[in-house]
Amino acid sequence: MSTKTPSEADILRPIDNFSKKYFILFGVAGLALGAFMVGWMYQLWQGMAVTGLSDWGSGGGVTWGLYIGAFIWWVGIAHGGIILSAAVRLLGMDRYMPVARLAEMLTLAGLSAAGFFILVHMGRPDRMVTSVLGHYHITVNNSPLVWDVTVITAYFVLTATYLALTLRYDITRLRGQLPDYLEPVYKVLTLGYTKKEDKVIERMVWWLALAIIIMAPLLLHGGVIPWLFAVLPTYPGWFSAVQGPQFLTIALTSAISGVIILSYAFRRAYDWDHIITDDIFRGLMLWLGFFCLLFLWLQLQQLTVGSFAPATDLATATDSKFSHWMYVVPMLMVLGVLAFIFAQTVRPSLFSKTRSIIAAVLVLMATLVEKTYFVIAGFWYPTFSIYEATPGDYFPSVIELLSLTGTIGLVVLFFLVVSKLVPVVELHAIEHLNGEHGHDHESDHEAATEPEVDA
Amino acid sequence: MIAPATLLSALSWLLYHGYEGTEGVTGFPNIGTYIIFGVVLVPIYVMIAAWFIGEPKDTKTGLMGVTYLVGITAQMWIGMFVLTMIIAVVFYGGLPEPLASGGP
Amino acid sequence: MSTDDDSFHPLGEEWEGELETMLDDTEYDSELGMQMAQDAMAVTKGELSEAAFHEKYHDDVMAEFGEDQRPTQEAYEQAQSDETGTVGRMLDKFDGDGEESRRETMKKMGAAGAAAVGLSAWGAMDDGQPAHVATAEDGDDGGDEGTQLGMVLDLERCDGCLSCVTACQEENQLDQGVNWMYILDYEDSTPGGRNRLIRPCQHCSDAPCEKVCPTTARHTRDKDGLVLTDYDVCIGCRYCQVACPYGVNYFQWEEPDVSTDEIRDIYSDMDGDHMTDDRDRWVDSRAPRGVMSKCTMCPTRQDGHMGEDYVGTTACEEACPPDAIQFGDMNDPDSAPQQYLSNVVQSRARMQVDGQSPNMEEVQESYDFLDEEIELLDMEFMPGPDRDEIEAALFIQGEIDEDDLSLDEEELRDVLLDILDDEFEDELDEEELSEDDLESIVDDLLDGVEDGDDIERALAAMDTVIADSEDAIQDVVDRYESREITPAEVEEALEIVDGAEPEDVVISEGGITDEATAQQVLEAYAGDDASTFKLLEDIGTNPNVTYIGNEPGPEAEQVDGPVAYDDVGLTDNRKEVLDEETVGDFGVSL
Repeated sequence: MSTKTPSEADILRPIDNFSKKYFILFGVAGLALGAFMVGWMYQLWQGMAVTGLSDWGSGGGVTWGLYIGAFIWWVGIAHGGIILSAAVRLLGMDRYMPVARLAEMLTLAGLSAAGFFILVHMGRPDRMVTSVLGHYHITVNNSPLVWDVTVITAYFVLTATYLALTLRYDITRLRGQLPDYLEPVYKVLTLGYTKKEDKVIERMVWWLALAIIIMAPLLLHGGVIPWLFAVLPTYPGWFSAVQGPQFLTIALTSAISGVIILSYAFRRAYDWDHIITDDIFRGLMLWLGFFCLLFLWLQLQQLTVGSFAPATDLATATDSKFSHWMYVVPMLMVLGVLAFIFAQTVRPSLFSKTRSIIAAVLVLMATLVEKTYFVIAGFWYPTFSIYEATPGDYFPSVIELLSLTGTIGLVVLFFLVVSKLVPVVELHAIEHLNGEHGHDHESDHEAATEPEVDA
Repeated sequence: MIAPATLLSALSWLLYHGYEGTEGVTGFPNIGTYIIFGVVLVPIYVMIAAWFIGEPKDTKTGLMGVTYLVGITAQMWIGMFVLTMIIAVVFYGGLPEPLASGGP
Repeated sequence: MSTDDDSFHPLGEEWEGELETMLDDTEYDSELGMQMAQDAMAVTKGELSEAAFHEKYHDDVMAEFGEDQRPTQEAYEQAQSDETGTVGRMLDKFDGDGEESRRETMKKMGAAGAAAVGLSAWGAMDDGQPAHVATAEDGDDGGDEGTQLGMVLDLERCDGCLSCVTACQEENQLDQGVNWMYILDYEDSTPGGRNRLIRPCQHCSDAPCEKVCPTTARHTRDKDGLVLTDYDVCIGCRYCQVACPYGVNYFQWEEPDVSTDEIRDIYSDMDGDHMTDDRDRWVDSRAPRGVMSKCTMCPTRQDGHMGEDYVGTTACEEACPPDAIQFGDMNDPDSAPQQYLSNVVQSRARMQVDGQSPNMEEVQESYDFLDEEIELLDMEFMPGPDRDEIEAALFIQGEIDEDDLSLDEEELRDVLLDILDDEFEDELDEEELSEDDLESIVDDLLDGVEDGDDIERALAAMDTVIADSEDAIQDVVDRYESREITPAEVEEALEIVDGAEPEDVVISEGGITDEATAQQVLEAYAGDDASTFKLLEDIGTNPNVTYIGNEPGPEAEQVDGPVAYDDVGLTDNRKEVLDEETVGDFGVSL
């Protein structure tokens, strides 16, 4: 099927082309977002009591729930951007170049959704800027939440800068074929562009990618986010150095899954089989399998250490893992996905895009549930568990559940809008697939004529 | 004549507006000082340095990069500021302290 | 009034001599006293400045008394500062006495900030306005560690009545389920002892809630070490609640039941609104919607807004009937909590014996009566029949006459009838005698009739009243001299362990208390179990609540207490209240 040659026209197809499906999807996503906005406004009006949360301790509930679980989840998904970009730019894995920009955009979308959750879970979101920024010089020294805000801002800014810098090349060259009514946007994006900046920008974004790959996985999702929990000594389910690496594996699995789904959606919508080839999905699946393995391996660490001769409080927390569906089911799901990917490695004919999508969806569901369990189980089994009302009761209320669909709608809308403004596949990727210019990538040059393997 | 003391007094009001840390628990210096400024942000320091050192480099382009960094950060937080002020007025009866006077 | 003698005192030499004699009676240096008095006169006459007076005797006073609280201190300091000059004053704004604390302050602020701070202190002193930046610990009166408010909680004295929880709820107008003060009974694997926990906020010195707060809303108030929440700054992220190991935080999930206007009304009589403290920050009473709250240990009380009497108290401490709560400065060895803690047995005995009978005075009176130093009617303490009966009996016996009688005729008749009711109880029951018969017996008694069986019995009844009284008094003395520990002996023991000489204190050597046995008496009376602990001490929060009693183990689980929260109009589990507001409650729990 894919004997076509990748062309500029391909990547420009999304822009300035409105189909019925597009509008339907826009409507659905808009509705999802709108429903949540209504719920959020009700929450702003009435207070957090509209959720299923309550004070932990004598208050009989959990104080952080789905909002925070989903926050962690979205930040994890957002790591797709740097994983792919770093793979391409730093490690020379050109195979993934066609999906790199989509992944970076997923970072921006994912971080926006995560930021939204921060705002939604606060009792006084109106003070987010005045109270937090206003006291930043004091609190950055001690509060893990402020560290969180710092690093998320940094990651977002770095990724946006990366996108902005790399878009200049594309926009300049494709300017003539881009819609006129968006001219002001393109003018701003390419302000001061000269051809000789290309090499300089290349180098700058290389360093950008390096900065992000060190910062985001190791210090954001493998750093300040787990530290929110792992530095508190009175929550045996949380208090461990393993949480840094553990959270990182979750980010990696979720990120790859997000990229798989996103890539497939665009490939399908715009007939990009010859650009986002099956080969990319095969490769992504392999990486997904590897990260799933790491994920389960680190869970094994926790289960072993928590079961052998644990202190009283840790014993209770670990017992819960073995019996609560919110932990067991996600583990089984990830294990299942891993098993399939292993089988696929041994028998490549098992691969299909559909199965890849299913695997990705399963992993995303598993990580969301497991992360939410992680958060609420902390409050269920604290060291000071003397209260009769601990473990507390919790079930996400309707508004909390709407936040899930709402943010998914937000991310969908993000892509629907952005894909109409700029090309979501790098021009470099097209050039590269056509073997056009003298890049100094020595590694695998995937030509676009590889036949698809049918399942 | 405005005494330098009053100016500095005003500056310290702006910076601290009556708030401060508790020694050993909050405020400078503490674990976060080292973690953020000594570890987490180091890649960014290195990156910005690399933009201006080494070949091929172009100071103007480097500055453009820095402008992007600063500009996007500013746009993020200014946008957030506007949104939160709207929320404040609509749902919480007014601007938050210190923009408006606090108190019950 | 002028005299022509040498005395410095306006009232003359004789008066001066009397003063000296009075001074001699104290254990302190009379000569110093006299000298100081002389110079004090000079100060009042304007011949000597206050500052000079203060300086002249400061060392002597410190040596003699260990402290110098004279009102001339202010003048002395002012003179000192006038001498020091601006720079010196600037540096003095940093708390403490020298390099160490200045360096600490600089560390706190960062060098640039310190410069601003130092100069702003200068600026502040120039316009006489308080520096906005608290460079020194506010209100710190010189102790190295400053004030640290906290509590000593005697779990053995707590009876689970929930008065403290109710008082706190009323003081702060809290919603249902917002139990800043919380009492819980628990079961534990280790047997024995009462298992009850009083759980206020621990106001930790290294509060994890403060450390994690992203806005400084949760902060420690320097002047007294209270950990408070600024309701105007808090963003409601609930991280403090997450970080607190003890579970003392209560978030305001919805609009509070009581409005700030209502609170203002309730406290309209006081100096302030019970919400803003003396730094003008809203930290007290219930939180507004969307913000975190917890036990505050009543800062507006500490600031004197409710009046001087309330400083150093908390609502819960005041309300506690068995006095299980001691609130005060944990850094001050003379504060109530530290005094309680320094000898728990003594403190408990002191509280337990309060108001008990027979106390020392009563026993002393009893001895005096038996030694015939006082008459029956001289006694205030009447362990047997009451005063009216004794008077009536003595009157009938002719021991006292009408002038000494405090009863009027009708009262006298009533009392006599009561006595006869008891005497002739059987006859009345069997209806051999009637009330009217008794009345006529009373008439006869009052007329001085002495013949007749009934009259003789009536007169015998009078004798019995007196005899009973004397027996009761004897009984008190017997108890005192027996192995039984009477409250009087507990009081004696308390004074002896406090340092009094036994021979000065003990009522009679027949009693069981002397120097050797005083502590044993107290332990036998109040219990000798006085183990203390702090909650989760190994976590490193440095809580400022010290407990006396059993420490809950890791497997301790709450059980119902003697008083249910519902019974006193409170709610134990807050979620029951909040669930009413939940949108789309599926009715199940994960």
